[in-house]
Amino acid sequence: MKIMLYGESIEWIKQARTVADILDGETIGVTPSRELGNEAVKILNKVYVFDSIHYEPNSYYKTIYKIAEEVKPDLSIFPSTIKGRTLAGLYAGSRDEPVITDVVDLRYVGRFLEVKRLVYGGACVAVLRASTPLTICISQGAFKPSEKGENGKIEYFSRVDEERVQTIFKPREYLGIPLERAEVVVVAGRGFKKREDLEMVKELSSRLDGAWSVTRPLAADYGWADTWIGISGAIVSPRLYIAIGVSGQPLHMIAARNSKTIIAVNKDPSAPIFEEVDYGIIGDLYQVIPRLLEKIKKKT
Amino acid sequence: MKILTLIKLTLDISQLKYESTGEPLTEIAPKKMGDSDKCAVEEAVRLKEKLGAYTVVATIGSTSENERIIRDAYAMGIDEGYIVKVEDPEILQATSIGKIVSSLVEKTGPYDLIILGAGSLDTHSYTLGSIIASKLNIPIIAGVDSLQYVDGFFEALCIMEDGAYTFRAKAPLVVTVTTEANEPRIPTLKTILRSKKMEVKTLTIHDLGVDDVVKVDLLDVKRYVVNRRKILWDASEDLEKAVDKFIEVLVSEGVAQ
Ligand SMILES: Cc1cc2nc3c(=O)[nH]c(=O)nc-3n(C[C@H](O)[C@H](O)[C@H](O)COP(=O)(O)OP(=O)(O)OC[C@H]3O[C@@H](n4cnc5c(N)ncnc54)[C@H](O)[C@@H]3O)c2cc1C
Ligand SMILES: Nc1ncnc2c1ncn2[C@@H]1O[C@H](COP(=O)(O)O)[C@@H](O)[C@H]1O
Repeated sequence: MKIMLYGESIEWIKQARTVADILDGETIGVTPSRELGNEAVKILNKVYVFDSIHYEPNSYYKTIYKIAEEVKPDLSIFPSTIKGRTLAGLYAGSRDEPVITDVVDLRYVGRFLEVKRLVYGGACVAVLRASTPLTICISQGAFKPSEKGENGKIEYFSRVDEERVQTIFKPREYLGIPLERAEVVVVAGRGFKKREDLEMVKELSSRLDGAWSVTRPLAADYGWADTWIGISGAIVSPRLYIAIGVSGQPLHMIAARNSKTIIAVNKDPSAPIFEEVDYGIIGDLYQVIPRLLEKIKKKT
Repeated sequence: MKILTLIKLTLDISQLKYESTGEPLTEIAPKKMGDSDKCAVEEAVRLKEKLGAYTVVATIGSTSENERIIRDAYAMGIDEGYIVKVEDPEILQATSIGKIVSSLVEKTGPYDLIILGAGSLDTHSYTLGSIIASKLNIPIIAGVDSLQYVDGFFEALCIMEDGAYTFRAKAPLVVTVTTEANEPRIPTLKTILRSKKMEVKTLTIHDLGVDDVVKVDLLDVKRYVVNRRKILWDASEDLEKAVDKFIEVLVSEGVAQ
């Protein structure tokens, strides 16, 4: 079986490689970054690199489609990010093959693939039967990173341009570690009463060398941050996820579930988040967090 | 300018209940127009008000509730609406829905703009807009947080993890909007009454010349079970102990000393 994967980060590519291990497939990577391409050839059988200044889905998918005409993949894998899903839809639509997003597991059953995906905002898991050719999207953290290596080949491919769309890109200024790479992510929810109170979250995350973020209402409704964690925001898979004043709705938790350990502070013992934690502190964040910061400061 | 908006009848997942075996009771869950679809309708109606666009809405499904959401869109100001009848649209492959929509576009179009929600509330695949764009071979701007029409160009701002993208393109174009795009209007009593009198057109997939819809082979749906330790400490009983335990976790995870 030939498996083609379009990757945005090396961590994700290692996890997509695990899918190939499960299916015992040959792995062909596609990436718009030379740097990533050079890393990916150590993990994949072959890597196509196309040069690009920035993401533009219409030009990207046509390029990936052209590469697929050469590769003839049975299974094509994209990240379950907004960009990845957009590309997967364009790609699968043009190849007229099914596309399944939010895939968390898959295996062979006879000639078919049995695919598990999240549905209903992450509240349920659906099991589907599919056959190839097929396109799927997997989230970072859904599969364990593969430890296998390869001595692959690299091939440079010219990008197909899309004259009909113009793009201006303004990169985010990261004031610290980007969320996707952080080992510790501290998240504030609506339990916070004022914007200034987020200073506690920022301080805690910087003391733990981590990143901080918020739930959607804090960003989208109150404007206290630009982005948030959740189905419609960033997806993270840190070693430690610390949720403070977060109720734990599926649309938020779906993006945090692949964290190794989850700890939450919430004053409501019946908050749904306590169903999804390793450790939980039932209490007022305005008492717990200042005391925690004091104690951490004393230790260092 | 002619605009097609797509709206999906979605489960209100916040009100989903379960069988003791973990099966979701989707039949009895309340259903509504998707949140981002509502923003798509609002965007279309604003373009109607600003540029005199003619606005059409379509939904793929078969229940009387599909008619209800078409009327909801009429009450917001949409001019014309179609239901494309298919049983169980929720188990149709997204590529099949894409095919149905492109045939609808051929039959009722051409459209300058096809606007829909970025992701549906229940299945949240975030793929239908892209599938349609590839089938019609027109560009897409996906995940739009703010849409403008300037000098014959659609200009869209999309905030993503790595930064802000501004895409500009001319019609014909597919645009998918997030719930950030606007604040959908609340219909007035007058527009609601008017919406009830408007005609809702129905089409079958055969009318559209689509015969081969592919269903997803759905084997099982169950509540997601989380396997975590769920060790809880009550800080209202003993703040010091709870905070010390918190620090123990930080230390054992290797993120603090
Ligand atoms: C289409 C759609 C997409 C969505 N996408 C996302 C998404 O990507 N990400 C996302 O986060 N949400 C998303 N949502 C919203 C989501 O459904 C929830 O509404 C949201 O996650 C709730 O945020 P919250 O936990 O901060 O707020 P709430 O649900 O209001 O919870 C606040 C919590 O804080 C606790 N609390 C209050 N005061 C204190 C205190 N002093 N000390 C300790 N605890 C306290 C309360 O007990 C409560 O549990 C989406 C919704 C829709 C409709
Ligand atoms: N059955 C349907 N009828 C009409 N529109 C749909 C249907 N399914 C999906 N859509 C549209 O496609 C968007 C994205 O859906 P999805 O790709 O399933 O996340 C939705 O927000 C709707 O605007």
